[in-house]
Amino acid sequence: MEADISSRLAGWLSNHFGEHVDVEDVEAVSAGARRFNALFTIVRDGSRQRCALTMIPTASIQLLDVADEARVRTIAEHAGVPVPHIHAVCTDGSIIGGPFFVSTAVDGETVPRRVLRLVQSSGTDLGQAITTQIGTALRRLHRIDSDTAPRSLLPESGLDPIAAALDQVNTGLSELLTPSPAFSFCARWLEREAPNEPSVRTIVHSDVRNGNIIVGPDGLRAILDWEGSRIGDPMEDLAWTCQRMWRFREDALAVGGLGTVNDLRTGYLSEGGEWDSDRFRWWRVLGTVRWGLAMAGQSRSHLDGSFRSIVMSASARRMAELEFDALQLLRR
Amino acid sequence: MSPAFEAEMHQPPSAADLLRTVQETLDADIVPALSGPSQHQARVAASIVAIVARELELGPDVRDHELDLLQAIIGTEVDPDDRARVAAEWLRSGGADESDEHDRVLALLTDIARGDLSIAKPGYDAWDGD
Repeated sequence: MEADISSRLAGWLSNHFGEHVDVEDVEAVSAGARRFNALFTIVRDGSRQRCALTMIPTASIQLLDVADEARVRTIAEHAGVPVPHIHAVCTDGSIIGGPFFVSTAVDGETVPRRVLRLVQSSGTDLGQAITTQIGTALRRLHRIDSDTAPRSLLPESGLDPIAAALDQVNTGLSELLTPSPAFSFCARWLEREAPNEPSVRTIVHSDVRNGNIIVGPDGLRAILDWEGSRIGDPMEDLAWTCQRMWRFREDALAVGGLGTVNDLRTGYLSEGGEWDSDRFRWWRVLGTVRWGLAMAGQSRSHLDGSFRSIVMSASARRMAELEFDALQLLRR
Repeated sequence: MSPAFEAEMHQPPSAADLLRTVQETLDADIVPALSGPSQHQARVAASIVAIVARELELGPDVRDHELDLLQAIIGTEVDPDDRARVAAEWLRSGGADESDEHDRVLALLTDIARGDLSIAKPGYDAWDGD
């Protein structure tokens, strides 16, 4: 497959750049159900550049169309958010088996445990610095005029962010194969404590966390995986970084085991962001419940045969973790 | 400890012991010999057999305790098979809105989650919500 991709990619890129390029050293990084990621080298006029390929297999369900995802990333880059620069976008699914884009390969750590190891061995406040940089990057993203974003980022339901999130929770609850008293209790709390719809709606990345960032000894280098971008409540992005599962047992540091909520807040405020603690807490509970219900959804996909997988078979057992976390967040 | 099949049905090792042997073999020998996606799958497999081993040993007691806690949440006598559904509907419709009731139910639901975690992920409940 790699040799095949090399020649097809080289042909397309040569045409795209208007000069002959070669593609070498293709290395598949991950081949999930939804995306194929690989690293490769573009050789052009004697110079070599390491790049990343993101391909969405034609048959898969796309959250966001590849051209729109590339546009969001480019808009974010212009606003000062660290993002791997995009060199080319191809919406033709026939070239390498699905639409794709090519971006700069950014060096550094992305695997969460290795990120934590780097931070812990740095002997400085690297984790705190990265957390503050995440806050800063999110504020820069949220400052973008959302009218410049592709229309496909608007929710299909047409619902406002808070209403849409509550609707998702209710749907998730109604689809459970076994009732969850814990999530039923949380759903009631979410409904009663729901904040007003946000006065300003922004682009939200929706999955910024330890695991979707590239870091080095100098700090945050890039935010990855923009396929879930949409228009929403900015506090949702901030709350999601604090999910317990992104901490890999480093519970004392709420933001991915890297830094504190205060570090995140400091970065966010430094760029003129506004912080709403009640809304932040509400989104933390919402994100926890929604993730737990998604776990149950994964196990249903396994059970009904639509996506048999050992990982998804165990997902329903993971619901207890999210139930526990959500209940702890409701303590006063 | 009440294994699903009592010891007199078989010579030891018990079903849970057998699963633990599978887990140990996966963790000690098979996972290190693999790489990439299959290594991840083998790790998940080890974690699943460990869950099932704990479920065989702890499941019946955890289940009994959960039914007692659900009964305490609801407050009136309900058939054991219906308790989770009745509790969920009652909570969803605001049965525990009032402050005292909220705190009481929150503590009981947390105990239920702790029971599930003793099987699914021991130690995960050592956290008090930042």
